[in-house]
Amino acid sequence: MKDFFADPQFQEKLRRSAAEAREKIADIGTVSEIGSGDCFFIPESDDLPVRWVAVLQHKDNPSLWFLVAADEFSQVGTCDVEIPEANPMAPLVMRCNLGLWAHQDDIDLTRYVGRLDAESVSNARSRLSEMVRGEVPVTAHGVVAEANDDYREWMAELSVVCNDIETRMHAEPVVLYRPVFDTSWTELSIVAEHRTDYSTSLAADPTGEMLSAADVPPALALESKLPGELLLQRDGDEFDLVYFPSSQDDQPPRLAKAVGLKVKDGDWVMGPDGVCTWSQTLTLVDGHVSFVIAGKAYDIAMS
Amino acid sequence: MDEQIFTTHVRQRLDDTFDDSREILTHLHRVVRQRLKQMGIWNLPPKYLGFEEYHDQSWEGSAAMDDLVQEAYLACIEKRLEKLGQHLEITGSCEGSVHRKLKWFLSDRQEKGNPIARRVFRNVRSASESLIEDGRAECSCSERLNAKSIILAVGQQSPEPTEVLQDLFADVLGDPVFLKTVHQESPGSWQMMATVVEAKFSQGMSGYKIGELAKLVGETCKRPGVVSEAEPMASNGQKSILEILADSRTELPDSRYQQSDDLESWIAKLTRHAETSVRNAQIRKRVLNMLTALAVLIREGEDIRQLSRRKLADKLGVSKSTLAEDFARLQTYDLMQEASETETES
Repeated sequence: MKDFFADPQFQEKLRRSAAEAREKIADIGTVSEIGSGDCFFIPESDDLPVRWVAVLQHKDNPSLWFLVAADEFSQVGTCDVEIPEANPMAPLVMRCNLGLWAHQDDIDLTRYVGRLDAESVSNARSRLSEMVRGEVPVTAHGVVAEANDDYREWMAELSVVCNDIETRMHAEPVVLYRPVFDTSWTELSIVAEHRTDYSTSLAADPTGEMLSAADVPPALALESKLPGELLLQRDGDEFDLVYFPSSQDDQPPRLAKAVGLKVKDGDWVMGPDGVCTWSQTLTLVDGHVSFVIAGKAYDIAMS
Repeated sequence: MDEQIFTTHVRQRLDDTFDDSREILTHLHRVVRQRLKQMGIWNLPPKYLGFEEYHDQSWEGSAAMDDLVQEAYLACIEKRLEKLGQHLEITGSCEGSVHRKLKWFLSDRQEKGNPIARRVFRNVRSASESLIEDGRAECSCSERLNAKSIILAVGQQSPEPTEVLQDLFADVLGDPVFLKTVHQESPGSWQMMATVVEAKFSQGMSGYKIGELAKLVGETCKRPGVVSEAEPMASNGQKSILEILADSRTELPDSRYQQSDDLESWIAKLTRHAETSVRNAQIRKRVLNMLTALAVLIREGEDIRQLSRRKLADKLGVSKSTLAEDFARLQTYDLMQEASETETES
């Protein structure tokens, strides 16, 4: 067995490269909030040479980031974006069809491993747009890669990892916004929403203004024993009852009574996203919104 | 993964405490040997991984294993020391990362060591898959096709023996255009193979074993003179600009752009396309930069047909795959424009 480590020149080379690596690792630093291009390790892929790149912040909800897998496997499929050889993170290929929406609270900032340059991130965002519009350029190398057994095997493995991450992250409701109106009447102070409705297509448009918190309807999560989430959303002086079913089979609860309403004239209306909204708006009567739903009476005083 | 020998080694390298190479060397030899066995190439000569100098010797009976292990160390650990260090620092281990990279490294080595046979095999397999999907051939296997899979003409029971396959394919194996195309990596190559196989079915061929047909075609491609005539730049791994274009239009091999005057007018035409048709500003800028660089090279007298994709990608600061994608975009616009012009004329 030849011992190539015994070569003094090679030993010197190894010492130099180790010193350079130490320096670069120390230079990575830390982040206090997620920025475009930030790369992280995620526990589900700890035993794989994969990092996850934050390529896009949700335009309606800045708490959400679209992450794509990036690895060192040399094959580049049609939906993949390879970063140039001269890039400090090269070799690296972003697998744009293997991504997921992650809430910032679910991304461990201590697992930050550097920031990818803006141009590479922009290329990934463009590719996501092309994927949604059906305009991905079809190249021979892409088609060949996708017919390659090793590539298929790797993508299948990454896909399982991606699903595992999504399953874990989506297992609990995500905090979206703190309500902007008086909550002194209740201990509930956050609004929650399940994250199963986001799709890759939301990542498609890298343009567009971010909405501010004020643009999002303020709402309160109502304490209940229902399997889904019951919210009271405010729209000026009117209020909407909204129910996020926990599953496709979960039916919204019966609204038995509401002050100022003939509830028998109303019904739940399910939107295309599966979220149910009561067809009548609840009104403020003497500074209160009062109703009985799922066997529980609510009398909410508004300031 | 209980053993943490790679992790320990990387930690020692970064701590500057690495002073005993025996453990890492023994471990690397063991892992590489296991992997070669899993890949089914442990009993094949080292030339199958590109070690031509050891020709028909065995891995154990030559220094090929030492060379391979050293290359593996450089590719999977030394060049990745920074990334492995990051992995180690955050996750506490880089064992899985090294093992995975070793797997990819050996696959790449196999690809580069026997490229023609590998490409021909994939083309025969893709052609077979296509024929089965379209109902023009049958296969009893339920999993992904492999070398042992038998592909039959509809209604047939058994494949042809090797010597009959040789006779049946004798005409195409003597056709330089077929040989030029069948060992290339492109959709056009396997589509051509599918057309040929279907023609053989109609001539009475009952079926074939994928591995046998691929071997027959691959061996013919590897005969002296065949590949060098068919793919003059394959030997140094370079790919010309026009070959990049050819990748996306192998079904339409034409020589419109073979002259440098034509190249200039072609670039001017593509520039007009890019200015008007590429909607994404960043991509448009990159494509125009690329076309400008090509125009400059032509004016400087460089034959861009001889320029490698890598060289141009380096010059433009983009990856090779991005460059090919931009060419594919331009090709799409070019073809759409042609179709539009044809429609207007008619």
